Amino acid sequence: MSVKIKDVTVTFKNQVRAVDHVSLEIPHGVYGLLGENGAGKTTLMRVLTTVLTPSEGEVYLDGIRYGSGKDEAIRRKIGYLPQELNLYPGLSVQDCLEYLGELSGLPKAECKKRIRYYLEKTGLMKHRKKKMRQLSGGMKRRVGLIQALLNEPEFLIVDEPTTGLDPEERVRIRNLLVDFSEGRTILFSTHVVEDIAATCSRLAVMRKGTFLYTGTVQDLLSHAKGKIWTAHVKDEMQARELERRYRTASKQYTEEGMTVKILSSTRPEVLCEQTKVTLEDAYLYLMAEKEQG
Amino acid sequence: MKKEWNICMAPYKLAYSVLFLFLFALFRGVMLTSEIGPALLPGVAVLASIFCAETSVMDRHGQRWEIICLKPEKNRIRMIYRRWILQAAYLYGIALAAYFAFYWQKPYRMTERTFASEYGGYAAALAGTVLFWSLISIVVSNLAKNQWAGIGASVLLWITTNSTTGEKLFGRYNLFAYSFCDSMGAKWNEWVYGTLIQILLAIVFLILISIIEKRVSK
Repeated sequence: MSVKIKDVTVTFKNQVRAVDHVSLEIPHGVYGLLGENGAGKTTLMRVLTTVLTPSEGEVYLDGIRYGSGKDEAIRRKIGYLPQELNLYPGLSVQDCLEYLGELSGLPKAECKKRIRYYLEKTGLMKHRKKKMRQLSGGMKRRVGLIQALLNEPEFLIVDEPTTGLDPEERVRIRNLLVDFSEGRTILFSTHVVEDIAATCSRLAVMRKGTFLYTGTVQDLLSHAKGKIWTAHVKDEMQARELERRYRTASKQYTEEGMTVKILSSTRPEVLCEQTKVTLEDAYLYLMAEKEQG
Repeated sequence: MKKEWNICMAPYKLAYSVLFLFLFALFRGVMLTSEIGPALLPGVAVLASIFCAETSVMDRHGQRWEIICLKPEKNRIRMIYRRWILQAAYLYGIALAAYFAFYWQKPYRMTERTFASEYGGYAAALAGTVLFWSLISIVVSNLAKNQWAGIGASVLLWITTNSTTGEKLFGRYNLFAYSFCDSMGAKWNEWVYGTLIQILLAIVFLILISIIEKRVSK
């Protein structure tokens, strides 16, 4: 399964350019799409699901070009979990999934078999008779994931599936994505770096409609290696002074005062030590670098 | 069909549709049995427009459109038709029953026509009314991707045709010809033309639904 995005641009009627000449090749496995709110991730995903037609550029799924009259064949290969999804509140989990499965064209017996399998895998078997409106946010998200998988898609697109979930549910969703990545390509968009760190070996970082980075997580970490420093200060005033002078990633209260993480390609002129780079640090360093131009 | 019922026949819709017709029978005065059908039909038309307006756009407003539009086109079209059939059958059933709710007013029969003839005529005109007004609402809503556009357009058409101007303009071809017919006159059955027009247009709308959905796929 190969997904190729070639110089895609999406400009809306109000002249807002949500996606600006992006190109990407998505390999097998879980591929992360990281970016702040409004970066263009959802717009790009809507192009990949054929919901939106790009203003310019081409997209290919397994060699089939989008918009070449074979969009139905493309849609059969795609499973999509959108950021906002409100499945039928009055239906039970089982009924809702059966309804969507039948709408996909699945034979009834096969549909029930797959639903049973995914309900067990996602730990929702005992909740299958509950109405959708009775479920927690995390459970609804898991049901959303199941509906995306029912037609056994080769390309699964999940748009911020962990947003608003508690830590336990986030971990559960991430683990499910890794489990379901066997034999398929998953594009996983999020603005939470931790999600990418836990699930992906490759990612693209998006900002204002363009890609700032595409490649492996390891390379992104290497890029920021030696540029993350930890300074220990006595109080909030000193911390604020550091924030004024340098780009900082985080600050934390400790027993001795405060620690401040600084992003700098050269050693800051304060007492500090080099720190092991996390993906969040590398992401913030990349953002800072691009801002400075 | 059970799932479609749960999806498009929300309890509040069932409640307001029954309440509407019940209140209609309570407050709309009739003296003759031949006046019941003509009195009821315009109300049923409005009810059908409002009731069915969201049929094809409910998934858009309900934040499900992005997954529904990935489903095969013919299955999506079939889904809309199933929802419509369910709703139309329900409306037809409760409107047939609502006829008898007027009997609390103790209307009397002035014509020589039998009950079967009067009720049969009402049932036939009702079929055209439910078909036409439910479908026009669905088509306009689908075109505009907004149920209020469907309701608004239907209401505008309703105001135009359910008026003395409309009666003069369209005569026996008026969509509400049954409501305007002189039940005591010799040409009392000319309303059939209006009903036939409704049925023909309903067939056109059924085809349009399919065309609009195919356009969405592109």
